[in-house]
Amino acid sequence: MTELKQGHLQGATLYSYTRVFHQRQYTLEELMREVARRGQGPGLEVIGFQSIRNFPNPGDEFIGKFKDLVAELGFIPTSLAVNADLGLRRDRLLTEDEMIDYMAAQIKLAAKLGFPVARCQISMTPDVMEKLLPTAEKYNVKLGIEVHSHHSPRHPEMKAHQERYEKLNSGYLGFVPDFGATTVGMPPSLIEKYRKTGVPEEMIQELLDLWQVHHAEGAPKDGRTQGMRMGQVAGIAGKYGFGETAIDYAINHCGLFGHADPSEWADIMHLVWHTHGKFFGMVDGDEPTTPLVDILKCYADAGYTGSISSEYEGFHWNDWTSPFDEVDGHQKRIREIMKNYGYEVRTKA
Amino acid sequence: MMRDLIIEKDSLRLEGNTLSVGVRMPWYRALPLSSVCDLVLDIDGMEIDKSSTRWLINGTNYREDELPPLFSEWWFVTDTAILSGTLTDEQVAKLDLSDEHKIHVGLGIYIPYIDAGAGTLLVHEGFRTTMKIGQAA
Repeated sequence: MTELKQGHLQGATLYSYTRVFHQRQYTLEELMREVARRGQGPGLEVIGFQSIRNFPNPGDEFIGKFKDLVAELGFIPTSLAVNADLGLRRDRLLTEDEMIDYMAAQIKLAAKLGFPVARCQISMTPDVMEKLLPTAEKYNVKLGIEVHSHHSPRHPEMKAHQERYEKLNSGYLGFVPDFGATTVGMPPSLIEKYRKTGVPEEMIQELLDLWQVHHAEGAPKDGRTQGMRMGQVAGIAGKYGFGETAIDYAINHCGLFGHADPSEWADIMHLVWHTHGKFFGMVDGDEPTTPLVDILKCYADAGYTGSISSEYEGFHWNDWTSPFDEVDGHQKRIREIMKNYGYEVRTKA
Repeated sequence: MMRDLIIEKDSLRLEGNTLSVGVRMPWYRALPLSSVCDLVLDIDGMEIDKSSTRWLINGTNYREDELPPLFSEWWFVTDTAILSGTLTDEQVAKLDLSDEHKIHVGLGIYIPYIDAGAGTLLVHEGFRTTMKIGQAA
């Protein structure tokens, strides 16, 4: 038997467990202990504004306790997800200088907490990213723009980032792919939820048909197309008397289940610092929405040894399965696939 | 998002003519208070006096029109906000304290990192449930 090569670092983002944290079933410390106990690390990703009170200025006591807990539990910090709140104010958008200051504070905290990567968002332009490069270098934190549905590696905005990063060749500016950009359908658990909540079969079928129309057209390349598609979904919801919650249908349909081809990831693998292994729910040991075999082919071909966070997002609607079980299933399936590609996923610190 | 969690269980109170209920965030991360808008509270289909709406968070009971400038104050994910408002004497008289009541809470939240094309994404969420009016602590 051929010896397996070292693959990527397994991990989880605490975002996967949003529902139980939000419901106050676990404190941050209790949640970290449970994730460690279940062996869902060693990679640990945290969303600053979700898990940390007074982010990005939680105080030295918190920072010390967090680092002690990470060490005790054997976690390897992978990514601090930071937020680019361009629309923080009601009266106007943040200026470029304000945005740079806002992000720099979060990047600085990433370094203090021991995270080597800060997950950034598309509301940061290539200019903002370039102006943050000295901060990234100073604190030794790589910045990765998340490639999240409805965007995709070949969306013009992402191409603009890629061109800038390749020109700068800094080793600090890159990407965090999110597998939700390359899906093959709507998740079975979401359809199940629609049925549980009385959504008529005709409406479900219209939504599924519309998703296929959008899929055939491909990932949107501009905001106008995305807006039009969201309007189409909201129109269907409104037609069947679900107008009050139409925005939820539109966000799910157009914002979570992206239409790009998995092979697009190969374009940017040389600039990938970390990855969101987004998924929506395991069915019979596989994940039917994000085509892991095809997606991970890009990772195997690139010899990727960075980190992948299992990022369960079915929690939005799924209140009947355990997020811990979902992450277990996802990580197991990824290890199987990577083994078939000749890689052993790193599961120990 | 997670609309089923918006209304905190057993949190409905009536003190004098002031009706209040605990509200949980229908999002996954802390939001600035400037994100919160379009507050709605009604009981058995009876609306509170809109001008009396208050939003208690981080120890301060804000009027809705005080929220927009508060972009450096935060509603943390695990914190409960208390939405309250005043009922008329006639409305209060219709409430049987031993009965279950239909409660409706609605709110808008601006999602500060998502550009919806024509401005920052505004998500309206709401939930309806039934519960009894509990005793004030």
